[in-house]
Amino acid sequence: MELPELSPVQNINVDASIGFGKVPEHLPEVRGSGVLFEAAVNDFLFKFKGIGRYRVQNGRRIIIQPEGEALPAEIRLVLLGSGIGALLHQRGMMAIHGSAITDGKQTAIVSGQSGVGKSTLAAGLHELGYSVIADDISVIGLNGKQQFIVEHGIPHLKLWKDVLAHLNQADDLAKVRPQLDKYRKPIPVLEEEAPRLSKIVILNPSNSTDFSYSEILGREKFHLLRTNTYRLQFIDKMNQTEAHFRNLSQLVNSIQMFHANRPHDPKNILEFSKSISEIIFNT
Amino acid sequence: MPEAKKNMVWLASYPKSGNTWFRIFLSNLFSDSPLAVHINDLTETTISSNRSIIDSYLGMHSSELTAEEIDKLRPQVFKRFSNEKGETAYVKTHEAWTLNSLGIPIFPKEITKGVLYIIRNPLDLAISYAFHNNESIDETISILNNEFSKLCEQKLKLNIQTQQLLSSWSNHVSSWIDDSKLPVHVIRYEDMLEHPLNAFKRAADFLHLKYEESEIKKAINKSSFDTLKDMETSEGFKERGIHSEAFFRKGKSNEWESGLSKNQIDEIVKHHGKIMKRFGYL
Repeated sequence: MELPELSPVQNINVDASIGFGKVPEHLPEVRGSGVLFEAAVNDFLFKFKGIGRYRVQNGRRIIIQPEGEALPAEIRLVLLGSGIGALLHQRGMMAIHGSAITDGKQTAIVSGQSGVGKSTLAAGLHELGYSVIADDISVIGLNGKQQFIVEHGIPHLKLWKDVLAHLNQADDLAKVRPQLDKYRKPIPVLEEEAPRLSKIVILNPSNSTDFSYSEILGREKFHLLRTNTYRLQFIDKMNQTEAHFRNLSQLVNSIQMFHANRPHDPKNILEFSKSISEIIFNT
Repeated sequence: MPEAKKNMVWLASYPKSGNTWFRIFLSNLFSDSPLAVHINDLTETTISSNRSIIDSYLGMHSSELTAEEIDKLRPQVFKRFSNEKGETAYVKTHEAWTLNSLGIPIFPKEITKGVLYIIRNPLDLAISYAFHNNESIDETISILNNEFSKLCEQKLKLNIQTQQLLSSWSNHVSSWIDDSKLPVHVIRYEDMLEHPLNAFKRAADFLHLKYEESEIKKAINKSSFDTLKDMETSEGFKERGIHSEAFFRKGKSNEWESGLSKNQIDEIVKHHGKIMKRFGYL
């Protein structure tokens, strides 16, 4: 299967395989489920009628059984979202729902609920010259100095047509699905390891026309890290709650966190991005 | 999935009909505090179009689904939501009651305890909704008359709420009251204003809420229009329309008498006269 969203790498050990095969209707044992998924310890099933069934096992293997007239782009969309999300959690890895950005000295994640404008902000910061390390899923790792970093993610931003228009960018990009006016905008792959993760900004919707922010302190930091975990709903059902708690407890003490209230429908995305960059990169 | 619980109460209304006011009353009724619950802290209820809740039960981003696909899945989302809740779960909705493209009701009967339908004279609603959206009254009347009116339409951009079918004012009313075949109690905004104790008490009785009359009175007082307006003036209200100056504006009825032109009144009555008559507005 071609995965044009990912960049080729050479000379590394393969530690997860993705391929086509038969996937059952249900898992033999189910610990918990959602509308579109079933989960057990080291076994996960995602099924979307018309696209396909995905089985993720032991943090090492994803098997896909496409369905009907599913388009390759749609098959990849689920794979690179919930499929990879399940794989990461099976490995006990920490993934925050948000985009990671760096100025070359430090890294920040912009997180928050779906639809709040995380990718839009990442696109704005990218326009201002910052590098985007990851969009939508920010996987946390450790560097050689045992500092938290964000692993390189899929090198593209998923942007709606109105955002592309605001940024005066062409909309001749590939759509994430033919039915949606949402496009994949490729971004340059960062060559070097990303610098230390130092800040997480929780973007909140607001009906104000002004931008405002405040530092998050105490227990609220842990709570917000938890609620903004990528596919949090998988964790308990996979019996990974303890590992997740441990991961978050370590991360919470080494970062600063902020609430940022997004002005509603900012007419000028770049202006808003500049305001955010002042908090996260002290510019 | 375990057997369905009948624990969902849908607080349904067209926008600007008193739904938020009723939710504030409920929060105050449930609160032990002597102080009024803050308008930005209404934790007792959620909204049927809450994208985060939908995503969490689906296990994927609803932003990667079409509005039709989301509606096909929402009955299952609500069933799982209901299953995780206790005796009663209150969910606000501005959506018309409708079937999805599979012919299945989006608001499932098997989990529904009841519907509290809040109705307001569309002549006043048109003025209030025009202020809320910062649109002209004529534009607002065309929304009220359009059976395909939607909220948070998902076309070129994403919203933190999923797309909702509002439909026309008359369709909205009859969809819940006539078509849904769910147990419905209708509460008129005008009765909440003029006879609050009677209106709120009857709603509380419908919801099987066992409270003394004195407790209901206290909750009504803590939800008074002046209190809510003061709270909004001092700290803002997160549910205020993005284009409007204030959510709590006048809290009165019959503003239409001076606020609408004859043509505007005629236009509303022409489209909605039948339902207006049924609920005592004509």
